[in-house]
Amino acid sequence: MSRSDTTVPDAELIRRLQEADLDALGILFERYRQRVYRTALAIVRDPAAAEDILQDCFLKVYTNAQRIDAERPLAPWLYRVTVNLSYTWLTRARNQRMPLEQVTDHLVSPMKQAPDQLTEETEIRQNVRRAIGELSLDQRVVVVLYYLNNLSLQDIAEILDLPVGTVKSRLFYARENLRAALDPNLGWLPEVAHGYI
Amino acid sequence: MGISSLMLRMRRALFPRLRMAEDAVLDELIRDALLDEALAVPSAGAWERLLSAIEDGAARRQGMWVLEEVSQQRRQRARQEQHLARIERQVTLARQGRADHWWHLRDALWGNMFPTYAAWVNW
Repeated sequence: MSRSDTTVPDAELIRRLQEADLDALGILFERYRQRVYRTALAIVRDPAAAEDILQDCFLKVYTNAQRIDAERPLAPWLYRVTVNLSYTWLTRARNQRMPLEQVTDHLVSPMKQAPDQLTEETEIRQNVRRAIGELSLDQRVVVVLYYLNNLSLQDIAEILDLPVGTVKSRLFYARENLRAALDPNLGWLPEVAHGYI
Repeated sequence: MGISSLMLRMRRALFPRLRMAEDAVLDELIRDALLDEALAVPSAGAWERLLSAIEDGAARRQGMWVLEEVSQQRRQRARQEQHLARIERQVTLARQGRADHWWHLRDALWGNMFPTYAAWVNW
């Protein structure tokens, strides 16, 4: 069976993994690695840390395989582990006695990119990125799950083990905070100013 | 709150359609800002690194078991060496005629009579 096999259901792969089948882990890794990596990257904003989180996440899949319920979908479990690992990483980064400004710079700075890519980023885009980075961690996680992974409020509530109302409230306040940070940008967007939308 | 911000809020409250349009723009801006992450891919060696971490973990678990055994053997050997040194000292004292008390010769005598005595004492 090839690593990119998409026909085998997750449940069967988990059952095989419970019998220490590393090929099954390989297929699951191939299937979910991008989602896990992108979620971690959007939360921690550090490619190296996101790689570590990806690895730790699938190590947990491997070591806790016996405890995973094969009948339930795997994706929410993976998202939950990813979010928890990202929280842990950010908490550790903060506890390393980094000056507050440095932590904020780290969180709001654009990812490491080639200089030409950096120059191509529009000012508005950078402002939005900075504003997302300045959101509280709880709000940022909801924004990432909602906008990056296109998950429903119900799914996010299940992943974060929160009531749907709380998720809705976090998303609302995150949007309000972003709106407040970007009000001048929003007001001056030509499409909005001229009522084209 | 600045006057421009107040104006914007009033405008949004008065014109709900505008508010909806702004919401749509905000959604687009957020999605666009997350585009780097949405297109990012983990490095090519991620799977090999994971496999290596799994194998390292297994080896480390096995290694700890071996280290524990070595450590136990080392403690036992140190105890035996200590006891052997005591017997040697007693034999030396006896040969030099300086064993004033019977218990100075106890271990040497018992050791001569019963070869398993040392093993029993070291148990």
